[in-house]
Amino acid sequence: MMGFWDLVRLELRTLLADRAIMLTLFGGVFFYSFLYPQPYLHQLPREEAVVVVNDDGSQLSRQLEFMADATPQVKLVARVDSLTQARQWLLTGKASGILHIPRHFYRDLMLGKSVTLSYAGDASYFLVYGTIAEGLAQAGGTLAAQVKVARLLSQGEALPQAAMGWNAVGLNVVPVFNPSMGYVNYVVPAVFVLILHQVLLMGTGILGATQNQRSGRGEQGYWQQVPVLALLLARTLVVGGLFVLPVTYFFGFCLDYYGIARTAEPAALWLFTLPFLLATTWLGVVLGALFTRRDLPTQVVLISSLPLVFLAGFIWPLELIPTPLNWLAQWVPSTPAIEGFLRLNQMGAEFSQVSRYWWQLWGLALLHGGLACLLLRWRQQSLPVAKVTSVTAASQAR
Amino acid sequence: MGREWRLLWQDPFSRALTSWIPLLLIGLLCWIFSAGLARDLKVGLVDQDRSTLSRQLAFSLDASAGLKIAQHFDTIDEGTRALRGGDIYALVVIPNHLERDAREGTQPQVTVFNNGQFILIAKLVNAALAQVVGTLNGQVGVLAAMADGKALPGALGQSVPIASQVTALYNINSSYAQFLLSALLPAVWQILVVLYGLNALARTDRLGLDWTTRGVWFGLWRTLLPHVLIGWGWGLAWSLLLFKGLGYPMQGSWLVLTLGLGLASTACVSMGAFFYGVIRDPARALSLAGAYTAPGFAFMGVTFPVSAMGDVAQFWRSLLPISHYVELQIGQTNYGQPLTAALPQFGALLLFLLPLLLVVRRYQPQAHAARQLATKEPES
Repeated sequence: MMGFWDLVRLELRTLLADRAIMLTLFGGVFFYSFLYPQPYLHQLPREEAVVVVNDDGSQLSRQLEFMADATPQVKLVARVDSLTQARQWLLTGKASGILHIPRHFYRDLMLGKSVTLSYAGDASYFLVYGTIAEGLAQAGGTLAAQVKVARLLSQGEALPQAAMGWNAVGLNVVPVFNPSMGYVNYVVPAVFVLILHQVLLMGTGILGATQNQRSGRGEQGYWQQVPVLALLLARTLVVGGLFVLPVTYFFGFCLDYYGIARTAEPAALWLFTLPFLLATTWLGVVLGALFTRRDLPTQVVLISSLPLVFLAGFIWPLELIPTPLNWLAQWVPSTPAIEGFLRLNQMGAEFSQVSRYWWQLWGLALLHGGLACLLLRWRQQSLPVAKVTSVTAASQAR
Repeated sequence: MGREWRLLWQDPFSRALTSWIPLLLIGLLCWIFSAGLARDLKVGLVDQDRSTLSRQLAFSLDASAGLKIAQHFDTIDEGTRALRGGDIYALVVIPNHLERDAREGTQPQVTVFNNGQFILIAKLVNAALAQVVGTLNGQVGVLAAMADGKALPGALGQSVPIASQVTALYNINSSYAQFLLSALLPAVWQILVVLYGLNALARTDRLGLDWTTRGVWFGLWRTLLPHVLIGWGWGLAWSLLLFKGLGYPMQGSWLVLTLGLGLASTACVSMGAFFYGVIRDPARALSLAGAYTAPGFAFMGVTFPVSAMGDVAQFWRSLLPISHYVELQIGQTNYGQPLTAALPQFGALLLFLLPLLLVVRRYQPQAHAARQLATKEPES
């Protein structure tokens, strides 16, 4: 009779000996921690190239050009004569936006008419378009304010009031939790949780599927005889226990290195990590038990990644995700985990505010754990058949 | 080639991967973004003024298509807590004396705390807010000017001296669905097609089949071509769905796009074969192929522009077939570029055939041994 710690030792040895699992669990995490934030390191696009079509040519229109160029978002790269030419600049990729100042811009403003400034950005790239629109709106708004102040002054308003009075109500938008609206802060904390989730699923999945594959070939292994509960616990202890290292590396070193907010108390973070690790490990065991070839779990996890990112609610608002899909996504630990970790660690929520995600993770842990036991038992019971066939095959060969 | 089709059919997982799984993924992603335009995003409100104007503002906020006031708070602290817990995406604070200050022309500020952790959502909220407050200002300004006895056109000019007309080129409705789907589907497709190439070579080893007896190049061609064709077929399928079915703009030539899809499919299969060929262990090869393809969407340069990427990121991006294909796709569908403009991308995609040289090298000894065996056999 094998003791529990013998079982743990065997599982550990299997894990450490399997180069594919080690490569996935540790190599993958390390590689992604370097690679994934790379595109976003500059946080935001700046100085996007814009061509200007100035049909007015007045001093005021030149001033507007100057103001647009002075914004951090926009850089004027050329002044062209017509919109057709401007379009050519866009098509050849030399510019991403167009600013059009209409004829009689100055005259109409002086006559007190409302003039319309038109600008356009290449919305093939939304971020580029948004940046250009933001910069040009800012420049236009500033000029509009100056014009309005001049008008109010000419009507005899006092200066302080005129300076303020160009709009009845001002809008002061303050981004919180990520004040610079930078992309590293936006993408990295959420995607890192998903990476941990996917990598852990792959590792545990490969481990289980490999044992099934070996049983299928008629090999004898400790996983065929031991009680399933002990097997599950040993595996959880080994895989989940070792995985604490990558988790610490991500939540500690990486978030700090990339300058991402870490507002949660370590104790609260670990408290939240516990059901996340359990639920994910056990889903991984389920995945492993389902397959009899060790190359399959990785593929399943791989193709599920992109849908899971967009179902997690940090990019596309949950309110806009169709209800059935949102419901389905709740059965995967990554969904409540991403929601919970972001609130706890980046947005500074109290633990009680993420408790529903915490309980959901515990629920998923219970569900996937139970399922894992059933499937492991099923694999053990379906084994004798394999053994018999392999024995007959062997005797026939003889 | 017939043998490869048969093997594919007999492998249940690969059969699923080439048949219903792509269909499921395409359907799933299209469904996620089926709402298209943002509506009823939850915001919280702290109204410290409780005046006619503040109530008017609150009403316009709630009535706007993009926003919904989910909760009213008495204090900013309560609102902030809800914001931290993610119950609301933004907190709108209407200050004391809003109406009085607005009437006196000292421009009171409505402060909005917007959750910058969810950038895309924050932008949707911002746009909706700016619209609501802008409209309110227009109404208040025009009313004030008309009270001064101005006629309407002049009054309008008085309140908004410079109006602006912003155009989102190539995506007139600023549809996120169009923007994200036309990048997401290629990214998912790249993962699938790389898997096709990898699985094809892995399968022959697993089954102990030797495909090199008639030369490695010939064998490789026979093994991989069916997968290139299947990948190409799925590429055409989602392209037709996006640019015909969903009616997203398509200014260019279908011929160039089809050719690009074919080359991209070839490049992806080649990369998959490369990962397997150099390692000859499916599990480890998959681990590498996963690391290679999974971040493809981030590196593609659609959600975050290439011009803002660092050198390392740009280098990694150039190693992914799909980033070249997406450039070609945008050039065709959006800019309507001629064939000549697509040549650099065609060239880049063809370069992905080079890794096959390594695969061939790797299988050469085996082919050699097989050939020797084949020539010896008749003698014995």
